[in-house]
Amino acid sequence: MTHSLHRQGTRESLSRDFCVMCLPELGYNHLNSNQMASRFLDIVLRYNPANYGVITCGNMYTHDLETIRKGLDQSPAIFCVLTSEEALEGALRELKEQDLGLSVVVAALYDLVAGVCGKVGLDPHTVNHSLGVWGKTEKLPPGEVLEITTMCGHAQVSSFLVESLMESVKNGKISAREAALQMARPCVCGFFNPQRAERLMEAAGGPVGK
Amino acid sequence: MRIDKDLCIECGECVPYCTVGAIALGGEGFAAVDRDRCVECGVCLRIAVCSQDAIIREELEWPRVIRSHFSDPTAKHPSTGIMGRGTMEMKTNDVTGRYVSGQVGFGVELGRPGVSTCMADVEKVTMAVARVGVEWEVKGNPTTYLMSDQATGKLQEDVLKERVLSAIVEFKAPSSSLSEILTALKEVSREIDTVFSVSMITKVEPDGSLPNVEAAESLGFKALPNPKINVGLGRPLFDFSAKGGEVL
Repeated sequence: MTHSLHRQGTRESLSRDFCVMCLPELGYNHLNSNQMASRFLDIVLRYNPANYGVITCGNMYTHDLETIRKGLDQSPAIFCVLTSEEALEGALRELKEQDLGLSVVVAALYDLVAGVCGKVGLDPHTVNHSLGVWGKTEKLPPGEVLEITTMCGHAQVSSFLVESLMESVKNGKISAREAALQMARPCVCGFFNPQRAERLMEAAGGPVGK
Repeated sequence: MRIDKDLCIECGECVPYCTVGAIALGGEGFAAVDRDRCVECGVCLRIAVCSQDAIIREELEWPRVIRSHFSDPTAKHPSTGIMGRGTMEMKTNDVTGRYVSGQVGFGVELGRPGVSTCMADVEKVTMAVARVGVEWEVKGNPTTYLMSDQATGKLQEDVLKERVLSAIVEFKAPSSSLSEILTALKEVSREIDTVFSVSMITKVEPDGSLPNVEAAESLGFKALPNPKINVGLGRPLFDFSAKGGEVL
């Protein structure tokens, strides 16, 4: 599905947010793909991901590394968030060298990813663009909430939770970091970027929606 | 989902975790789940926020069970055998060759982001798109499996009143149909009581151009700057030259 797509935010905010995933396709390259996905995990761990996870069990804020690695036996698709072009470049360079054979997809600002691909010697192959949200958009929560909730494409991070925690941060009851880590827990795949959520909450000044 | 009123201590911890605002404190000493609104995503249970273990997952029967299939990413769709609401679409296009030059792929996700949708609204979109004439993604897409008639986009009657967190309508067509598809989606977006997020798939040309994006933008539609990009590392690499860029 498109769970890494449709993230909202400013260019500055999105420029430190690189969703990277590694997946097999049944009938093409799924044999031993759990081992290849495990090697992918070893590679990205060297680049300090803000999050990683496997849908069958959860993310690094709810499960330990070995549990997540074992989760690859059931679902050999792995997801992570890197936070700089340098990290993406390093990871893609290693992935190219190790030639794992699984598809690798990056969701981030196109010009940045294309630039990194050029340095590494890769070419963007197929692209999936968001054309935005259509319909009764008046039903959507405020923009600063959407910037956080759209980091969980499965919509497991509730806008009510985000609004509640944002209020707690503004009232000084908890830190932005504590709130971001609470928000990260419901995201089972690991694409929620708590570092970005923390920055967004620190940047938010007044009451939610004002 | 339901909450055992004998165990609930009305602490309210679970309330904000509900993805659709279906849990409320009733003023009778316990929290309650609005069953009509609940999409069975399971977040309230999975996140283990209840200190009293008062949240209970009920055995779901057809058609209510589709709420869980479409809303809980850890639930496996019986129709497709995979988790999630969509397919591998372009994520593995480097090995499958699902989308070639001259084609456009679409994923129209009803209810996203975070609004939820009833299946009757999903049907409005499938029927609007069917009138244009498209090739549905059959293998692995659970929305297609719910169609009683792929020619018209009609869904099974018994699922229309169900609510889900989101459902993806996936299809492809010749790029020459792009304008007609976008017009149909724009028109049907005024007829639904929810939102949908639109995604558009393009095979990158050898010169790096993205013809579908250029065409959509020339029609006044804006592509967001942060797409999903397959970087071509899958093996065995699909031989696009053998397919000759021919539209299927």
